[in-house]
Amino acid sequence: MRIAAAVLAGAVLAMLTSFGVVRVVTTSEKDPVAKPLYNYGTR
Amino acid sequence: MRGRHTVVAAGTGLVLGALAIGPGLAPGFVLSYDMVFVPRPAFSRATFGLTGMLPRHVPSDAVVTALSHLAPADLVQKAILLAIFVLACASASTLVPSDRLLPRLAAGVVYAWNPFVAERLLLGQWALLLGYAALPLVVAAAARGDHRWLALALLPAAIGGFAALAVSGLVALIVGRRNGRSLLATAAILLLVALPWLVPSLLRVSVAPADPAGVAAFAARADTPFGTLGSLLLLGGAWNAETVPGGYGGLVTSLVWLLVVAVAVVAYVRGDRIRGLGAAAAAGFALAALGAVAPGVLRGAIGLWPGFALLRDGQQYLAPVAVVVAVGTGRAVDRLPAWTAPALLLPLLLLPGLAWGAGGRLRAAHYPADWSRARAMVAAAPGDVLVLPWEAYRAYPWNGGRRVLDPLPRFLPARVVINDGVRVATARGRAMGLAAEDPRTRELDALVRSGAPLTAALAAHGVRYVAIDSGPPDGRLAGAERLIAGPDLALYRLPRVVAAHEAHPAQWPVYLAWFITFATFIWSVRVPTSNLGSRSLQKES
Repeated sequence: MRIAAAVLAGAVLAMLTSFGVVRVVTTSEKDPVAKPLYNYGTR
Repeated sequence: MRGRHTVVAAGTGLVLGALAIGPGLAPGFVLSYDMVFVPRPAFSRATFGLTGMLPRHVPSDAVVTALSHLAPADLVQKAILLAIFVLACASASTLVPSDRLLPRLAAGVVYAWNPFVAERLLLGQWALLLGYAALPLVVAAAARGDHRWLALALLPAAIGGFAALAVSGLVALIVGRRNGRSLLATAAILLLVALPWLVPSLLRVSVAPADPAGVAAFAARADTPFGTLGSLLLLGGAWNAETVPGGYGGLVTSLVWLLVVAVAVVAYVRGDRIRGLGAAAAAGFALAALGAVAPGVLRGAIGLWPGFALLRDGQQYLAPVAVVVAVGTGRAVDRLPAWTAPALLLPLLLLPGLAWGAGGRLRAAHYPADWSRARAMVAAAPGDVLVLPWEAYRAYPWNGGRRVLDPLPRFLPARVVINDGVRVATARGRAMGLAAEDPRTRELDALVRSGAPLTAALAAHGVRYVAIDSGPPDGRLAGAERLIAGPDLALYRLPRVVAAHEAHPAQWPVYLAWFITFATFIWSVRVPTSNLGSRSLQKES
């Protein structure tokens, strides 16, 4: 039972990890917002 | 056993900090939005809030300047950033009423690695995060009614200054309100540790505008699919879309994170609650949402008293909500068996964008050689410096184009005038401009914006140098001597400078304020060790 639970938890963690990495790589490839040179930030 | 757990939590915090800052730990300075550290900073009137903009940087700049006399300033910066994670993880772990390590670590990890920390770190608000990191200690001390320990627990927030102490003060007053006497004692301690920035603020209250436009600029915003209030509940929602970590805010990760937060809140509410912490979190959430939900109320309040401008950037008041989520997470994990330990990684998996310097956005950079030459020249023949372009923030190529508050006022050993009126762009491409705070900036604003020749006019206002640290040369400086014409900075010396007559408040009240605050902390250190950790937190059912 414990082994099955561990396998399940591992699978969920692996899926979340790969999902997170893909998200980060995807978002870092493009500039998410226009960044005028002298602004404090963008809402 | 609990002491050993705290040490393990501190070590975990160190690992998390190293993971979060990543490339920022290389030699050089991490410059991101409000985070400005410079090599060999010097004490000046500005350091103590006696000139320039409102003293938001007091006393954090003074502490950094003092520490930078003991170690290189870039090392000081890295130590402070790492200390935030160490303190956050360790302090949150102490609030979990369990003898097991796992739940305590879970609380520490959630408290040190969440959207609030990520967004505020990217925004460069290390001073606020310093207070955030010690907030669980403030909660513990206030709940015990131990005022000496409370003063000591407030030290990081006191170093952070203005915003950090406002958040910690709110929590301390609500959690520590057992009776009138206790409330007065807590308020007195807060007043004593706030004096270094409170006194210069009061001395210069006549020059302190509070632009109500800041309410719209700095109100919380949605960074998840759950709207502004939902985003705040998930500890995100900072005003700046540029500081949302990569990968955060997607539907799947937001749903899982929402589940974690919901379980944590339920676990906290169903367990033995720390007296007043729930109320403090509710108040913090209400303040965080105020600018977004009822901006007219906040604008009206600022119109009545400019001090309410402290509530414009509301999301920072989420810190007590983060404490509740952390403690609740610890309690929920306390019901799980030991083999679930890998679940400690869940916050990292839900917020991977904070890792490795937030995806490379917190890289270390070196100040250009032109800047060092300018500092040497200004030091050799001191005089006031005006910085162009007439804007507050920069995106220097040598800093990877990452946005940062202009560091020249801290870098140069002189009175440096910049336009401290910031601009915030909206999603529709428009810009909201906020009024400048520095009286000297306001005095020169019309002149600099006019397009007229600047050399004689600025010299007549006591400006000896003009530094251009971004963009092309300014054609309005005919007749000025160009001392440096490098790729990263141009420095001009103006002829026939008239001595500036800038009104300064008296310095002795500020020195007295610092002395009183020092004395308060020395008093707090004299806590009998038997008092530390021996008393249990007062609970509410």
